[in-house]
Amino acid sequence: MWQIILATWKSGLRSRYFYGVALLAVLLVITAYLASSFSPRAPRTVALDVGLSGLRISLVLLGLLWVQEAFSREVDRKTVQLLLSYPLRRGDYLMGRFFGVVSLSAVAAVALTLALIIAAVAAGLQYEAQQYLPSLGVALWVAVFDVWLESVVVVAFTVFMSAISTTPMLPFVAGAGFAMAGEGLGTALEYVLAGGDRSLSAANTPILQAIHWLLPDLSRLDWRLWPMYQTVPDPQSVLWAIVSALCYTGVLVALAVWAFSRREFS
Amino acid sequence: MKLLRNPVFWLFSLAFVYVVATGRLDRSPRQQDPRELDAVLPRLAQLALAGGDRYLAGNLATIRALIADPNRMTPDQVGLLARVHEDAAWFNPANEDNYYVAGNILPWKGQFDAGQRILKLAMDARPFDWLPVFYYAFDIWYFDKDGLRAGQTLKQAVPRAKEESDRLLLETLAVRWMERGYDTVSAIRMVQGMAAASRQSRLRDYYQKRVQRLEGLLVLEKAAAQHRERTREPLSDLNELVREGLIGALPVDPFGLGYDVDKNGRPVLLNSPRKEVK
Repeated sequence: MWQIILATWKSGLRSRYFYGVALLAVLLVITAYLASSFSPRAPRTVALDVGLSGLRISLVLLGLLWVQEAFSREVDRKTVQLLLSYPLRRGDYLMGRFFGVVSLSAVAAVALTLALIIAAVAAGLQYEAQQYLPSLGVALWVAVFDVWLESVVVVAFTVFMSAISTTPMLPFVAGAGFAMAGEGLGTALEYVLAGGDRSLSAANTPILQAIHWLLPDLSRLDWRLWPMYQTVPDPQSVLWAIVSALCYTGVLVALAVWAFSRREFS
Repeated sequence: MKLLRNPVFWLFSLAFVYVVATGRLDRSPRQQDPRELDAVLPRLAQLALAGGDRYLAGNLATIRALIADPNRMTPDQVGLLARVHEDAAWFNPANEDNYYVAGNILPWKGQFDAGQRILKLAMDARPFDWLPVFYYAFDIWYFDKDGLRAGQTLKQAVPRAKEESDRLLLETLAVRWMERGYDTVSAIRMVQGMAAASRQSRLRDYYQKRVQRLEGLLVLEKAAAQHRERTREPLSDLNELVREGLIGALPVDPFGLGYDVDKNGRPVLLNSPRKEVK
């Protein structure tokens, strides 16, 4: 399995997506900085806020592209059959790809966060008098860890889709949709349950509530309020959100291994 | 024919026409979109556009509200602006820019309730920040003219202030509101202070106009008091003050809304958002 992780790293670093990370970092800094210039009172906080949203989008995107590169395309081009002729269990191959991608995106997360810190500090230079400053220390890194964890869940889902799908684009599209739906689900539920939208009447609520068992509420992994406003999250909800995300990931990877081991390549 | 095949010919002639056209374009007036704001998407659509990210949706709504100019808006559009601010507050109630701008503009533009709802959300989401409490209490004092409730609300801001001097100021103000209720002289002083504290130049100009408007009201109030002393009758028409020579002319309201007299003979601001004032 280690060899597979290593191979994923090598192909990940060799591919053009590696330059993508650098490009994303530059874009992230520019976007966060520009967004902060709209803010009359809290440019640093806004830079951090928009930057964390950008980080989330970047990590999900990179995860999807890496899965595509390292796994879906290999299945599609049938090069995977060559690999599987070695004395290697299919499950190990798949898990190697999964951990390879996930660790690559962890490195990307660290690099992008460093870029983000630069943007937040630069945003502060326009307005020294900002009264409530965001924290760029531990709290930020905890928030980034959770954004990364979110991307791990998305990667697991995409790997699962790759294991069962026969077209190379489907996992990518399904993964992107999954990321959006998972992130928005909690907020949408909150809105609908509060009676915010009459067209989605109370009749639909049981369905919506059933969905939230199938689709994880990824917005529960969003603790940016801590670095932004120093509102420390309740440790118990942090713990349960992490446990829930990890178990969901585990279930998806196990399902992927199971499906992939039974798959017949023709 | 040979000329038409020569790329250099085309290069120069197209460049020439380009220069002429650009020059003409510079002289012709730019068409301006008269609508400052004319549609607000449903919240769920805004959420979907932000990829499900509520903070991104909140930031986008805030930026949208910040770049719109409320001075160019019709009342309908101000209603939409209030919705944009409320959406932003729902996505992220702790957003400092959103509560600050909404709380400073909406109540003055006839959207008192929306402004107060946004400030209330910010008060709860930002327990460390005394400013939303201050604006919330100020609006009760200024628009509802309820000194007692305003003072009681303002007291909640006292423990939130970090500086001893701020705490003292808020405490004193709360007591004064509770004891004396609303008066125009204090209102002018407070709005002047708010103008001085705002970083946005547009907001500052806006407050300065408010100050001018209140100063006009103050002139009328003083003249009306003289009128009452002299005639022992309440004022029924502002023009009486001019006729009696108490003031040279009616003060000019920079917003063009003007002043009037209420049932008790007190001068009031016209078109103020609360219905009980005429």
